[in-house]
Amino acid sequence: MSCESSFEAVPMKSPACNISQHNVSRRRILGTTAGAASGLGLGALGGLVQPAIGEELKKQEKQVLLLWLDGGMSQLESWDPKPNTQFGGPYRSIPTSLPGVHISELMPRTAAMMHHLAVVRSMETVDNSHSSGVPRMLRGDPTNRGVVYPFWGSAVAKLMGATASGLPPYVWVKPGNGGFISKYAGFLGAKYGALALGDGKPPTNLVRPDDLAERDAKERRKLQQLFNQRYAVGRRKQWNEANSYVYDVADTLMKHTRLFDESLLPGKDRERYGRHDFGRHTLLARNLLESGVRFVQVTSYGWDTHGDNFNAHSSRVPKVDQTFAALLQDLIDRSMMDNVLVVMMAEFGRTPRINGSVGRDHWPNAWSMAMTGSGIRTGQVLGETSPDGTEVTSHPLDIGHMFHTWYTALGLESQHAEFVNDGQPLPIANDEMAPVKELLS
Amino acid sequence: MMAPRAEEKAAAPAIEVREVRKIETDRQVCLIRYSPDGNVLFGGGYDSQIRRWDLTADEPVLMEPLTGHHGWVQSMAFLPDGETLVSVDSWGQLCAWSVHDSVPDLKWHVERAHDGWIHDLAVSRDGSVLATVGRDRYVRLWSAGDGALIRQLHRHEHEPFCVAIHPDNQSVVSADLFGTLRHWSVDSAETVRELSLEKMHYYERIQDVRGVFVLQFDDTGEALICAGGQPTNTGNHQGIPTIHQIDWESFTASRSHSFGVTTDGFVFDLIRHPAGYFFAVTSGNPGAGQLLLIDPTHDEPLFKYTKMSNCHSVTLHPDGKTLVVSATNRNSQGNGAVRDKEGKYLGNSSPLHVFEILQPAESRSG
Repeated sequence: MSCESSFEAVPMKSPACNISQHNVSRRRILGTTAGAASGLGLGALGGLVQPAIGEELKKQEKQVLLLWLDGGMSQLESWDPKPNTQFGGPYRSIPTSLPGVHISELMPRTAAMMHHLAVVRSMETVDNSHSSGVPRMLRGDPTNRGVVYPFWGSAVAKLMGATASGLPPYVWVKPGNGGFISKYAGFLGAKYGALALGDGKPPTNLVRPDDLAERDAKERRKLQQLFNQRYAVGRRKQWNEANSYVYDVADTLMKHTRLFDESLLPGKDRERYGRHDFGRHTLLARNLLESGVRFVQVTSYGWDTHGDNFNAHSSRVPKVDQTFAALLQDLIDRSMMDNVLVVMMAEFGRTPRINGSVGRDHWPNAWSMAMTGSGIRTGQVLGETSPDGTEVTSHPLDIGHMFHTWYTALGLESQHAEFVNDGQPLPIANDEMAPVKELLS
Repeated sequence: MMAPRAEEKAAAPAIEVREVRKIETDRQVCLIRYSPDGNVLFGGGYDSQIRRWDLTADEPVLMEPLTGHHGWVQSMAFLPDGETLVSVDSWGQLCAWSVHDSVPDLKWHVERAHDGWIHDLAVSRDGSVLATVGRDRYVRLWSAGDGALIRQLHRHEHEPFCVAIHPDNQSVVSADLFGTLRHWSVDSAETVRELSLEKMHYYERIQDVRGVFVLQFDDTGEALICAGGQPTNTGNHQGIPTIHQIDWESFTASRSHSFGVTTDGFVFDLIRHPAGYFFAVTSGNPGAGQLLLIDPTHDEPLFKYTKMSNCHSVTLHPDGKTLVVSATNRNSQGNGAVRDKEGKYLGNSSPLHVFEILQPAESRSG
């Protein structure tokens, strides 16, 4: 889909800007502060940074939280209900804190906080398969140039780097197993992959064993670095970078093991977020953001409700509602909304038509997503679908538009900034699309 | 239309069925019930209407629907007077209709009988009391005469999906998301006994999956049937069709039947034939549908009819010689937009399969 004429490109702050300039600027700042800040949470930085640099740093310390509902949450049982219509399903809609706007009755807590959100009801994407749709959405569906683009988290890790906290820039909290997922980095090189915390737990064997003295551990690390340097001779830089990086990450995480200790979290917070996986993982995500992780993705699996869609959403959506509302309140209370961009989405929505298994199938044609926080103009619903929910009737948007919008919201010049892959400049977002002005504050 | 005989005989049944007609619909009908005189077929569905078909002519004639519900109509029943239909919807409304005349009349209704989806409705044997269960987790008893609330039983910990009233009118049983059956005393509104059928519940990836779909007492009140399935996953909602026979005196499962494989799904509806059999319909994923004839004393169904997709409801004519199954059109599943030649987005529909019930001698001569 090309950029729709109804959207104006956001005026750029400078006519040309590439990512290396951003990096130079950022390194200058971190060079001043990183040493002092290393190992400390972001909250501890305030007292260590000179005011002028602090302001600059604050601008730079934008963060992202992506809440990914894998498989595809139904827009009709969430953001875009069509009650009492042929395909509308059994649920009612309820009013929200935005006058005239209704969402599903399954989301009462979020409804009360709707004025803090921007909801897009007019997502019109092209892929109705999980296997290709997930990477397409997470890469922003860039124009095909024969390279494998990074997932959004990897891209942000490259474009913005780690924060002054020194924590890994791309952390993925997910059910199941964890590890370092290098393939998400695409052409950026494995170093920019995702550190996956399986079930919110740190990588196994992270903590130094009691019978290994700290001095011995440091000696081992030095020896390992020497081996790595020798291995790197004559090989591509990215290969060795990734290998070393994983150990650097482990070193950093060892200093932050308290981050992963659920027992240290206030019981009240654990109740507010919910004791289910999504609640636990999102609460961890809040802590990771507070501690300075640049990009956190929380994944909830199982939304592919081809059967019993309505009871499935009755079970699932209230949990997401509980967690999401608690998160929003915390971000507001902690003054984090200006710095943290929050997006909740999936690879597509679900069909209006109800199949024989009382389920809904894959539906990229007209679906919804929600966002808030840094750079987003909240208190609005953008786009419309037809009364029966079968097509977008205004403001059709593709994921490319959203990537431009989000990068812009993070302070990046999405239509000018470029990756460089072996000398090949590559746009950071689909170059046939532009930011959605209406969504930007 | 003549259709193939029922197949896959497991034992020699005392009765057989054969499909004789299919009534096409333009919408999905998830629940069908014959009127007590057998002249009208009523269908509840996903479009807030109760459809009616006049069956007195050679061909079924679609009548004006009953309107006034919202959301889905998934449970309805006739009172013993034969003239009153009671129905519930997914927005929490309970209605009683006089359907004796060709123009139905709404006798009374309770707009917010529950806060949201009413999953099931039961009528007492004497027709005086109605019981409902809903997403708000309450079990409520109503006067069938005027819709007055008689009693609210204590709230379920988990969402109840089915309810049945014992023939003595002193007890109510509800079954919830976790496969827990609760025996309630009508007088005290307290739980008397509980029975856990834990295999009728499954949890994975922040989703609880229900397995209970049907709860019915037999005429004597000595046995309770709990039917549905054993869920095995979340997204596709697969499961193994299962029927538990529960001895009322001991409140334990005296016999349990599980039929087939996980793609066969769940028993969505079940009726008793006067000859002592059950007819059950199942809906599986993807697209599987069956009509089963079950002898409660046998482990395997007497036969399975498998030439339908996703069967959701079954109803028996009062004369015991005809039954109707609401199924689903073929290929109801599919990603993306399914459109006709004019580009119109297509919904699914529920063909109504009409079966003759035959004694073996009739079957041979037919």
